[in-house]
Amino acid sequence: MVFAERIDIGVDLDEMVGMAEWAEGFCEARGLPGKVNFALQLCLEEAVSNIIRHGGLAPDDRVDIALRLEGAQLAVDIIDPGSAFDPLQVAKPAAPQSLEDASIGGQGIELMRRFCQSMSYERLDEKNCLHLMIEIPQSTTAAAD
Amino acid sequence: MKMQTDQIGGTVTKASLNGKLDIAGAHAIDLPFNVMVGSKRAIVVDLTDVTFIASMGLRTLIMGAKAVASKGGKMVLLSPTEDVAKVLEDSGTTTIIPIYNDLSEAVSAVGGQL
Repeated sequence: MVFAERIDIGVDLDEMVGMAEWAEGFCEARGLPGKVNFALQLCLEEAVSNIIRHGGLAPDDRVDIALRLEGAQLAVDIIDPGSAFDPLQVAKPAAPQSLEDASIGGQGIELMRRFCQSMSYERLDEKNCLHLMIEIPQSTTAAAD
Repeated sequence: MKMQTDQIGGTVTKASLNGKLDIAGAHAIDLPFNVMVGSKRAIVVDLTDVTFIASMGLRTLIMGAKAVASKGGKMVLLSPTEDVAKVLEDSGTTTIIPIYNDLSEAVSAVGGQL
């Protein structure tokens, strides 16, 4: 059985609070472990805030998010009609060497890479489609079925 | 996200954060945190009850540590959960802001004594 849920939010960072609660509810309802919820929350916050702040969206545009379980993975689709942007092409940021030299920001996409198992991107129908897979520790998969 | 500050070990300020340090959480503590890092020189930020952190939370911590260091002071982090610690490590934050899991060691690191 495939569990899938979707939500769409407006171009407003305040709407991300509701998105985060929705995602947490998805994990809780399926008995997914806290680590999976943490990784999901991190990926959604980084990806969607980037889209809202830098995506070149019109005020009436919507960002679509879908979650579904695929075996031992949580699949996440994030779709927006903004300017073409492939986050996979963003170079890994240099590690800060000292507090004085440390830059603020630029870590979001790298953190997503580290918290999900795979990321893929395609531009379809003038929309950015970002697809993430988050690993669900095997021992908890049976309990979720 | 809530923030409570206590004076400990004489000159040390312990800031205990509680909740999600997401965009909304970082925004919620922006003012009190900025006031603290602008006025104190020895700060331990207790992350024990922080259940989530992402870029905006890192921004709060790094900008705070920079502000304290610019006055010749020091800010360290205390007892993050495993998931929060992974974000701090994966982002390289731990190389510029030290993490301690023991309060007395954290207090010593910023020049205080329990």
